[in-house]
Amino acid sequence: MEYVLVTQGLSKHYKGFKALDTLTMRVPKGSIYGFVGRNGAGKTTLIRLICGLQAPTSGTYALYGVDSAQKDIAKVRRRMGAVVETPSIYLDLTAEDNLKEQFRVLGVPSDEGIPELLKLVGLEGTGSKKARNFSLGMKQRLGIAVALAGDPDFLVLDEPVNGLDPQGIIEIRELILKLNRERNITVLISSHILDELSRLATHYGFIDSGRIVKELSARELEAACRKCLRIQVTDTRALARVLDGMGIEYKILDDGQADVYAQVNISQLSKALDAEGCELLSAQERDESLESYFVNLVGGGSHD
Amino acid sequence: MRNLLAANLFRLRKSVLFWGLLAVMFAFGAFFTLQHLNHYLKWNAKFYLTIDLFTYALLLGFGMAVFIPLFFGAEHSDGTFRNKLAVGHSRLSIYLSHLIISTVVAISAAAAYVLPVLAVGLFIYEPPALDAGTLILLALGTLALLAAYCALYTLVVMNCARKSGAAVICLVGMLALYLAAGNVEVPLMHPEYLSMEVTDFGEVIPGEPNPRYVGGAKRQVLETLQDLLPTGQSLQYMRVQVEHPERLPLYSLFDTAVLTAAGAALFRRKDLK
Repeated sequence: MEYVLVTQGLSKHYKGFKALDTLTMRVPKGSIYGFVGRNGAGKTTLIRLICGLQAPTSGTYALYGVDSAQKDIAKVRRRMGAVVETPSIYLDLTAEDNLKEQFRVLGVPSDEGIPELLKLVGLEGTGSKKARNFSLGMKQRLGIAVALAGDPDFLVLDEPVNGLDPQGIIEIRELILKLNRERNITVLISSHILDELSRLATHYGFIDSGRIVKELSARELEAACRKCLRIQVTDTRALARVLDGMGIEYKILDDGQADVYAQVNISQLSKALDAEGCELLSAQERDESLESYFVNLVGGGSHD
Repeated sequence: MRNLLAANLFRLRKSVLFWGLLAVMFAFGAFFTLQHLNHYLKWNAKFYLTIDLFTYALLLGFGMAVFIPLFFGAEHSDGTFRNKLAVGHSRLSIYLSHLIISTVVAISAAAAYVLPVLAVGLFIYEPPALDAGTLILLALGTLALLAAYCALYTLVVMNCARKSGAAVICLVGMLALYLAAGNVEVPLMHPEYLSMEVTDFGEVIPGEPNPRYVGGAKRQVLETLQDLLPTGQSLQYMRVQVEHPERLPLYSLFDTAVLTAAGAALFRRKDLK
């Protein structure tokens, strides 16, 4: 598999505090890599390092196979775009002028691509409105447009939906999916809004205390999060007898509830329970969510 | 670097702050000139062309202390440094592009000041008492001085993450440097003798020596310090009383080089957010 970003034992220390602790991760090409971790876990620090805003204390990273210690890393960075924490835009300029400015930073000879970029992020009608008067969602989308100005292959988004309203979240999600599917842009997206991330990511990296605790694909995660049927009955002892008889794996939760780890025929189960003098009250299919997977993985300790 | 300069110039053209600075400097030049014009018309007062010609060297010491933190401080506050670094521009090229554009702004503002002074002054002022060579040297010296001011403020702005904090540091620093220049200048102003006598044959006979006069090595140190301090130079250019016109541009270039080297080294190691 080809990787856009590979980090090797990457560490960043601030006055005795280890923000990153020998972190090793790999972002596959073409993926939407969900970078999951609680506040202070080290997500933004990693992004700052790969964007060249800060230097690692030790360890290395490679972008498109070019090591961070090599001079060519500056050239390779032209293939990436980033929105780190807040969108990096000049508040006293319009959306169009912000893009013109970035086109000049990149040395793009013509401003022709600007209307298309504005349309892509849904800011084509903002005219002479200054960015300081934009809503948070509009600023975020403008930040993404600026990051896309260099036509990057790799987009790094740090908490892109933080503080957005539901409509704003949907717009950003659709934009990211569009960029990934239509332009084949690899996206590294950090977030702690796990439900949102689960709608996007094709790969996950779970970070805790500056270390990657688990890296896996969405398929692997799906397999890890076992589906089950939550059943509510009047007598769980009777349910246990029936399920044992059927050879089905289950877990009794309390006097009236149990999780069943198999596809069962509800009519047959209901009939069998009836024969045991037990009533089937409800049956509900359940998935283990990304959230519960994350909590199980890193524990539910206190947040920074 | 060329891309960064083009980007900064683009933003400059759109900046209300930049056009405001030019307007203020033009207004200062026009105000001083109109005052002299008034005196000329009322009392036929005579002025040399050099009066107030180089006052921009003092005004822009303060003007750039406000402009540079507010204009370039936005790179920190709006986070736009990241857009440049994330696409592969080096910190040194970002630093130098800011310094160059700051100097361009300072020179443009100086031109805005000089414009009304020359436009009216050429018709009503007396020709300057200085020769053309010295006048050109003074003009070039003030431009080098503006570059030194820009280097000083760029050092602060690039290494201070807070825009308002940088503005306060620049302004307070500027005032402190003026106080320092004043303290250096006062002892140098005492004459060597308390009185002088001129004989009928034109011979000058010195009177009683001035106990406050500073001479020897101490005088040399104070003079060097006065020339080395940008504010010390500003005071000399403003009064058009420049002891060493050939040395001052070299001192300004020295200041610019040292401040830029120090500022760029600090910025290179700075952790940006």
